[in-house]
Order: sequence, then structure tokens, then C-alpha cells
Amino acid sequence: MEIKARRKMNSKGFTLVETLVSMTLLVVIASILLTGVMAAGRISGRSADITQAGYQQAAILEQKGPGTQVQSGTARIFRDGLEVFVAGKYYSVADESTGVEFSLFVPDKGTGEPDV
Amino acid sequence: MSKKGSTIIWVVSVLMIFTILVTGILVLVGSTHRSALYNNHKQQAYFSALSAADALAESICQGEENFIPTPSGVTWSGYTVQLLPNMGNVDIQVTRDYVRNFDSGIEVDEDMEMLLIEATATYLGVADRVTVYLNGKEGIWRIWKYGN
Repeated sequence: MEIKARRKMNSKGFTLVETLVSMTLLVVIASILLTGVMAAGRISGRSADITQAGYQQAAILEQKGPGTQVQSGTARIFRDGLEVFVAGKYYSVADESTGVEFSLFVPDKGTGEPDV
Repeated sequence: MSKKGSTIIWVVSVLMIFTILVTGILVLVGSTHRSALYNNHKQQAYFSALSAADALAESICQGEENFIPTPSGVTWSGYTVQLLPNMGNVDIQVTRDYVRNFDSGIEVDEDMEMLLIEATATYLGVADRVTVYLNGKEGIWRIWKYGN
């Protein structure tokens, strides 16, 4: 009778080994999930930075604003063996923190300026 | 009803729900990231197309007649414009036509002609297009307007 009573008492709750194993599993799985969530947060933040930098740098380049690098150069046009070099300037902007960079070639204007 | 083993089912279910949630968040964030990169690549493709179209337009305006399709009404393709290596590839086609009323299609000036330069740039697999219109009379061409 006494042994039966003890067995009945022992069947309630978890043993120390069960608790330790379940806690270890919980920690491991929670770490994996947390790492995933943190990675998602980092990627999301970087995406927002890239989008923002893209808009800013494009606006700066269109206005040839501060931070724009200017370099003289040519654009090479060819068709059916005919080759022409058009002189002009390469404008480029770059955002170092995100790696966003844009370049634009503007030919030196001769007689072909728009009427506006 | 027996409740033996029901705890493990609960635990596995909750873990699966969390795993699906985290996977979903990662997929969503990855998609947003790709979209941000795509937009920037498209922006550079636009700048490259604009650069190439401007370069060809300028060369025509400066009197380079060999790049002008002849006679009026034809389209030439196969133009290639080399810019900086980090500006992608650009292909151009040029159409020569008489200036017409866009609604009726009737020529508005028999002597006035139009060149339509369509530049398509591809930067890191993303393409964008810029169109430059030139009008001209007696071999003198001027940039008229830009479009997409």
C-alpha cells in the first residue's frame, strides 16, 4: 500500500531530468526564433535605409547638388561600324553607409540645347 | 478521454506557430529588401537610358547625319552607347517621321520632321526606358521634349 501511494505521488509533476531537458530545448528553440526575429529587424532597417538613400541620392544627382562628383569623359556611340565619341561630364553620387550609388552622363551642349 | 501525451502536442503546435510566424516575417522582410534594391537598380537604369539618349541626341544635334534614319518613316535599331562600366548596357532605336497631329495623325508641317530616340538601359537585370523627341528642318535638329 505504501509503495503504491509513493508511485502515485511520484507520477505527479515532472522529474528534474524532464525539466532540464525541456528547458534546454526551450532555450535552444527560443534562441533560434529570436535570432530570426533580430535578423528580420536588421534587414528591415537596412531596407529602409537603402530606400531612403536611393531617393536622396537620386534627388541630389538630378539637381547636381552638394556631394556630386564630376568627371570629364566621353560616351561612345556605335552602329554598323560607325563610331562617335560625345564629350561631356559624368556626374556621380554615393552613399557610403548603404552603398547606394548613381551615375549620369551629361553631354557638353553644342547647338542642340532645348528651346525651353 | 485520455489526456496522456497532450502536452507534447501543445508544445509542438505552439513551436510550429512561432516558427511559421518567424519564417513569414523573414520572407516579408526579404521581399521588402529585394524591392528596395530593385528600385535603386531601376533608378540607375533610368539615369543610364537618359545619359545614352542625351548623348545620341547631342551627337545628332551637332550634325552627325550618319545616325539619322533615312528616309522618313523608318526605324533604325542596333545603336549601342558605351558609358561608364558601372552604368549597365543601353540599346537604342531611332524612328524618323514627319511631325503629325497626335489626335488626327495628319502632318502639321510638311518640312518639319521628328526623331524619336528610344533608349532602353539594363542595370543588374532591371530595365528602364527614356524617350527623347527631336524636331528638325533642313538638317538642323533640336531636342524637343522628353518622355518615358
